[in-house]
Amino acid sequence: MTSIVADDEIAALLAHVEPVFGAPHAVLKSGSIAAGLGNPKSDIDLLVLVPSERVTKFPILSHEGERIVDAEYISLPRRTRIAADIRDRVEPSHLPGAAALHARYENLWTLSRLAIGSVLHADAAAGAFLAGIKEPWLAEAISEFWALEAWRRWSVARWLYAAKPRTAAWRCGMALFAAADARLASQGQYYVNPKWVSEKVARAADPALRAMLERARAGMLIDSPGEAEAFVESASGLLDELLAPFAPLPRLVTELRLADGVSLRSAGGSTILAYHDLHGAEIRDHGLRFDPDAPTWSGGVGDVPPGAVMALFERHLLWPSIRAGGDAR
Amino acid sequence: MTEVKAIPDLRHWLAKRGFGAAFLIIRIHARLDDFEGAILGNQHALAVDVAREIVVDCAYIRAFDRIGPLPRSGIEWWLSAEPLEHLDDRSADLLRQICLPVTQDGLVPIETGLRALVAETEALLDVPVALPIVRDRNGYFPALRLAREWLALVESVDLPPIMKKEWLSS
Repeated sequence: MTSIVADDEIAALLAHVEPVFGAPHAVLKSGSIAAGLGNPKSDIDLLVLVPSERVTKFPILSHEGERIVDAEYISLPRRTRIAADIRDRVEPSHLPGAAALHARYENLWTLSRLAIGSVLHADAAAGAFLAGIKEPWLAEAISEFWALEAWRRWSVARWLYAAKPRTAAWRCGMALFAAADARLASQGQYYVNPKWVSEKVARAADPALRAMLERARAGMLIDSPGEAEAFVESASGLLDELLAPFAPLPRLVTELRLADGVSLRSAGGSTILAYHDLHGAEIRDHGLRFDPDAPTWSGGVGDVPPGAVMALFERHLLWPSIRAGGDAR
Repeated sequence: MTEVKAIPDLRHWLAKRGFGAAFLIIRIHARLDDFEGAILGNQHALAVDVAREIVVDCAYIRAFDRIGPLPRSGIEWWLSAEPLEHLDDRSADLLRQICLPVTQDGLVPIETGLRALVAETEALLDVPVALPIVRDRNGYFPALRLAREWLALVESVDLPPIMKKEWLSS
């Protein structure tokens, strides 16, 4: 996927890089254009690896003709540590909570962009780092992330199809899209940006993937409980078939825990759960466990939580997560 | 003429306007650009997928009063959110139009419909100024300025940040 960049283009692109965080270790041209997926409105993405530890991710936009140049400044020492942690499986792919999930997604996205990028400039330290991320572990980590995300979405679709068929159908469709990304990553198309899945599938010469996306798109229009149930239940077999190598179903556990930002208050026999004191719910005589470090409910993929737990989930107070149990990867 | 508007619930009001405006600026405006790019690049399936997401993203903001404002960025994380359950007629019609087999020419009225829906969604937030377009040549810095102001506002009542703080730190 790496493209060769002409010398005059290199000079023009490097002119968009400012040494605001110190002299860069490396500058890469990346994003959808580098991945061969872009179109006339796509940005030119520059990734600027800088020595500062403080720079987590800082974008600066400018223009090159009609194109936007999106230069993103990121810390080389920090990215080196993140890459090593993912490579060495220091943490599981999906930790509970929105912040952890978002961090994993962002980290994989950034690493995938670095891995497919064309190097415009790099010193020895950056060169060694960039060589180390073009290894199979990155594609495997991305496949696993999307596979688990597919099952997480599908689980929610199964919980909701009777009461909220449209939402369930949408979640199920998005589960199939995530599954497509898992499979594409395992085939070498691991650039993490879900909006491009149709273009990746068009290049993949994989009829099973095409059929899956068509089914996902058709299913997303469903609005009756019966049709939603049929769509969700039939999707399960498809996911199992496509995702078993990355996230084997028998080893997966779904959990519901207090969502990030939810506080607990108790008084007079009732417990009040509130999301940033914006909205919440009162629960009485429940016997449920609300521990930030432990799930309120857990079960196998496809198991449906009891009514009180579902009511709290539907009010955005419990967060669904998924993990590989036992000796799963 | 001077106008005074009552705010019965300040936290809800701040969250709705802050989360909604940030989501429009960061994601939905960019998605409109993606849709235009997909048409120009003859990427038909991409155009359809992006169009569908724009309708759902707008529905998400439009559902804030019913389901409660939720911050959001990147891919969809709040699997409990249910913007599609009570779609207004315009959104439902547009979604149907998008999901039917559509020719390249058929994408033109869809783009008109999407732009009208986004404008209507923005109007529901009742922001006194037009939201700047980050990707326009003259929109980036006004958008940063607005985001910084709103970040301070939502933080003043201990609401979660409307976007990543590190994006706004310079």
